[in-house]
Amino acid sequence: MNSYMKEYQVNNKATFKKYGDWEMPSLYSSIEDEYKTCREGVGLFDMSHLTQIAISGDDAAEWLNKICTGNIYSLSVVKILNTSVCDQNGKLIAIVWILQEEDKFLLISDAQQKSKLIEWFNSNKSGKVNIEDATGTKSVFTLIGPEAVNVMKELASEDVVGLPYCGFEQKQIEGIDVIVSRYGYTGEYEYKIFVDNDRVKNLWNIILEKGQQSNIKVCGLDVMDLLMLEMKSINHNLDLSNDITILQAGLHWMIQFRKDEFIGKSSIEQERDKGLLKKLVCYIVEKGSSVNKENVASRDGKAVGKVIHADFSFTLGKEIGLVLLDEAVAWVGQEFSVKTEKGDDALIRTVSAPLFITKTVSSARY
Amino acid sequence: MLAEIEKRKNITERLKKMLIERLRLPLKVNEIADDSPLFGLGLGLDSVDTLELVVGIEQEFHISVSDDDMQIFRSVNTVVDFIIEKGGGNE
Repeated sequence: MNSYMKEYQVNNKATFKKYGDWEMPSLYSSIEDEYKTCREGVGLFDMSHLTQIAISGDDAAEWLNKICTGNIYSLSVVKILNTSVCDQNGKLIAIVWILQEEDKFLLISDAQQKSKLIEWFNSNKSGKVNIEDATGTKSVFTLIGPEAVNVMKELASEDVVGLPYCGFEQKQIEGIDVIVSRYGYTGEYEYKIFVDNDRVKNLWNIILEKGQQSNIKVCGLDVMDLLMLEMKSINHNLDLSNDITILQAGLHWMIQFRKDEFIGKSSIEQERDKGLLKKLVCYIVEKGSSVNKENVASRDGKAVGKVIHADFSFTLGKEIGLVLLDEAVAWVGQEFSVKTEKGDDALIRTVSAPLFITKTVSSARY
Repeated sequence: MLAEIEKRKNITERLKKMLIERLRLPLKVNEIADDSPLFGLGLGLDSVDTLELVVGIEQEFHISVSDDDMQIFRSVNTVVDFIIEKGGGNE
């Protein structure tokens, strides 16, 4: 599947990749350029490939509360919940965002998780619940960066600054009905705008025009991996193999432990009570280079972990990543040697997340 | 190295217990990840909680926290980094 903006993307020389069933722009210029756009200015992304599943019916809330690990009843209309869907063994099926609208819940997830989610939902459906694949019924544009709030003010008026994190509201942008939501993982202002497909090109052009003052630039999806990694926002597709549990990944906050029941509860509780065998921790490379995924982390000649995700932070000027370590040593401030594919010994040091304070947070306006 | 880990473990656990008690969080210590965000997602603390957090840190760890310091309080781990840097947790 392609976005309604495909023609624009091709004309502007985007590189494309597959995301689930969709072919979407992964890059327009360079990762460094698009990274700096998002950390210093504002980037515009087409995220129309996101999985959108509409859940409705008299029993929708009760059913969702059993299917998800989080507390659906903590939501109210125009609020967003970030939570997870796990199987009976506590293994993660998907990380999801749930928006509560007047007449339904809209569940958003990565494009790559769509088939798994739909299949899981249908095989665990009970009561009066309707499950509809709404992917692609609305297009989704995302503004990311410290200047994103200024662009939103130009688009949807000053009062958009009152939109709290994990909130959404209906708005009009030059007569076009949209839903503006504020949620995300990058540590910057992040606004997702949902729009009917017949107004997509109009809206895109309006955003680019209004964003000129803030030096808005169009970005591809590849840069999201780095933006998320720097905040230790877990990327399901890159960071979570079948072996890494939701607790090992540090996603405890997506779980409402006091709920009477949810799928996976007893397995998750068992792991919590027994103690974790491994933990995912951020690292920076202190010496050496070219640390890569699957490289083994050692201490005193003994293997104690494995690199899960490796990248380069332009803000820190260093290689960074995630390492899955044996629990006994999975603490911040520890050093490990890593044998790289070149045969060199690199030295990594575990660090706290987020890796730095973003410009959005340090300006802390809204 | 082991001594450093034990020290960090001790401070982390004390901090989590303090957060649970002071902010009446419906959580156990082993239900809070070390990199759990404090604000927004994660523990979902607000500005009122921030004041309690500061008072709690000062009392539990015998260090002082300025307004500027608070900006680095993004997760449990970053607060622990701050406490260690200020020499707290050495009792």
